Amino acid sequence: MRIAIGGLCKVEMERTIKACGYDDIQIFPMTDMEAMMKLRAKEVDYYFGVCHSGGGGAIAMMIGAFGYKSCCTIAMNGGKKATPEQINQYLDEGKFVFGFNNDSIERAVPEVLKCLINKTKG
Amino acid sequence: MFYLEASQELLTLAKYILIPITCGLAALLSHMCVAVFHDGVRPILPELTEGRMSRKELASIAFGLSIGFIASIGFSFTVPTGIFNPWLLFLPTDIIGILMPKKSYAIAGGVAWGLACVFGFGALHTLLTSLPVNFFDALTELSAPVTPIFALFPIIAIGYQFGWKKAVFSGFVSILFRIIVTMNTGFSADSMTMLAGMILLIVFSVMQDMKLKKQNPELFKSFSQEEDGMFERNTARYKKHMFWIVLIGCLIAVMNNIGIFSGTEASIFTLHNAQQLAGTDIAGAKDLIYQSALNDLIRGIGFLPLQITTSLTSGAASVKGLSFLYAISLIASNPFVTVLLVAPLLVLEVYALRSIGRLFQKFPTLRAASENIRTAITTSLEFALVIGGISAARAMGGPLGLIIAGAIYLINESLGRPVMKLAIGPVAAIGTGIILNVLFCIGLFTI
Repeated sequence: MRIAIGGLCKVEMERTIKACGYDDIQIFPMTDMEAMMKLRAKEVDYYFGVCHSGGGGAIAMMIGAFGYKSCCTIAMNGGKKATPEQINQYLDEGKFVFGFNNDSIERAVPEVLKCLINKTKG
Repeated sequence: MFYLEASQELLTLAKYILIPITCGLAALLSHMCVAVFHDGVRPILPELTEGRMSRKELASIAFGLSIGFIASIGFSFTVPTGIFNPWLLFLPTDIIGILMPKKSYAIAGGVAWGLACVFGFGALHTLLTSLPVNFFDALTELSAPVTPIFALFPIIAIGYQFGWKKAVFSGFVSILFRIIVTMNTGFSADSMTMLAGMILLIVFSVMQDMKLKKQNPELFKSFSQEEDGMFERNTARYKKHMFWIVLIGCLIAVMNNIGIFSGTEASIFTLHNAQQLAGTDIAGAKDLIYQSALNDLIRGIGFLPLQITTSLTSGAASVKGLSFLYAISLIASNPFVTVLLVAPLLVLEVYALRSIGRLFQKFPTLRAASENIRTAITTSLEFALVIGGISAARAMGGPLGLIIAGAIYLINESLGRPVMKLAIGPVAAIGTGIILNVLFCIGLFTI
C-alpha cells in the first residue's frame, strides 16, 4: 500500500505510521500538489494530510481535484474523531483522501491504518 | 500604530461601530460564497454553489471545523489581551452566513454576533478586573515569552525540512547574529534572530530546488488541462468579486491599524505587549509593533500557498485577502493611510493570484518550506504560550497557581486535547485565575 503524506507535521506523521510497524506500507512525504498528481497517475493509493482543523489546508487541494466525495476528515480540532465503524464506511464509499488535525495524529492515524490493513486483507 | 496617541474614547467608539459592521459584511460575503475566513470551509464551498450540499449540511460541517478554534483560540486570545481576533469574529460569521437562507438574515446575524462580542467581552473584562484576586496584571506574563520564542521558528522549520545538522548550524548562527547585531546596532534582537533564520531557510530551499531540478525534472512539470481549466474558472469568479474583497479587507485593515483587532496568533501577543508599553515608552511600543508587523509578514508567506490553493480550488476569497494587509496596516500611521495602502494591495493580490500559484509550482521546495513554516510557527507558539501560561499562573498564586495550571494542562493532554495545544497555555492561565478567586472567596487562598 502506498500512502502519500502532506500538509503540516509530515515528520510526526511519518514517525507515527512507521511506529505502527506494518511491513507492506510505503510512505511518500511530499507537497499536496505533487501528491495530487501522483494520486491522479495512480502512483500512490492514499493521501494523509494534516492541518490545524483536519478539513482545510490538509485536503483542500484534493477536494478541488477529486471532489468532496473522495475526501473525509478523520480527526478534527476539538478532539472529535471518527470511530472505526465510520472509517470503514468511508473506505467502503471509496474515499482515499484523509484529513487529520495536527493535535490528533498519534491517536487517529493508527486506527485508520488498522482499518486499511483489514480491508486489504479481507 | 495610530492608537498609540489616540484617545481611548475614540477607540472605544470605533470598536462599537466597526466590529458589528465588519461582522455583518463578513456574514453577507460568506452567504454569497464570496469570501470565508476558515481555510477549511473554503474548499467545500463549491459543494454549496454547485448544489451538491444544502446550506444546513455545509453549516454543520463548518461548525464542526470551527468550534474548536472559536472556543479555544478565539476566546483565550481575546480575554487576556482585550484585542479581538478573527477566530472569534469571523468563524461564527462564516457559519451564520452559510446557514441563513437570505442575504438580509445573514447581515442581521453577523451584526448581532459583532454586537454580542463587543458588549460581551466588555462586560467580561469589567467582571474579571473587579475580582478580588486581580489576575490581569499577571496575564502580561503570558505574552512575554511569545516574541523571543517565535523568533526561533525558522530554525525549527529548517530542522523539519533539512535535518538536524542544518538546524543546529542555523540555531547557532541565528543566536550569534542576534548577539553581535544587538551589541552594535539598535535593531530589535528578536527581529534579527528571525531574519537570520529566515534567510538561511530560503537559501537552503533554493539550493535544494536547484539540486532537485537536475536530478528529477519531472517534479517541475505543469498541471494537467483538467486542473488548469478549474483554476481558470475559479480565478475568473474570484476577480468578479473584487469589490467585496477590497471592501472587507479595508475594514479589517482599519481595525488592525487602530489596535482593536489583530489578525494572527503571531502578532496578537506582541501587539498586546506594545499597548501595555505605550503609556510609558512610546519608542519601545513602536519597536514591538514593527516586530509584530514582521511576524505577520512572514506568517503571511508561510500561509500563502494554502491561501492560494484554497482560493484556486474554490473561487472564493478569504476575508483578509492573502493576509499581507496585516503587516501593512500595523505600520501605517493612521486609518486613512491604511486604506490608501491596503486597497491597491488587495487589487494587486486579486490579479496576482494565478501567477503566484504558478510560481509555487516552479519551486516545490518553497512550497514544502511553507508547510514546514506553518508547522514550525505552531510548534514554537505552543511552546511559548505554555511557558507564558505557566509563568502567569505562578505570578498569580505562587506554587499553588503553578500546580493548578499544571493540572489543567495535563488533564487536557490525558483527555486527547479537547482544548487545542495552541490555546491551552492561555486557557490554563485564565482557569487558574478564576479558580484562585473561588478559593479566595471561600477563604482557602490569601494574597
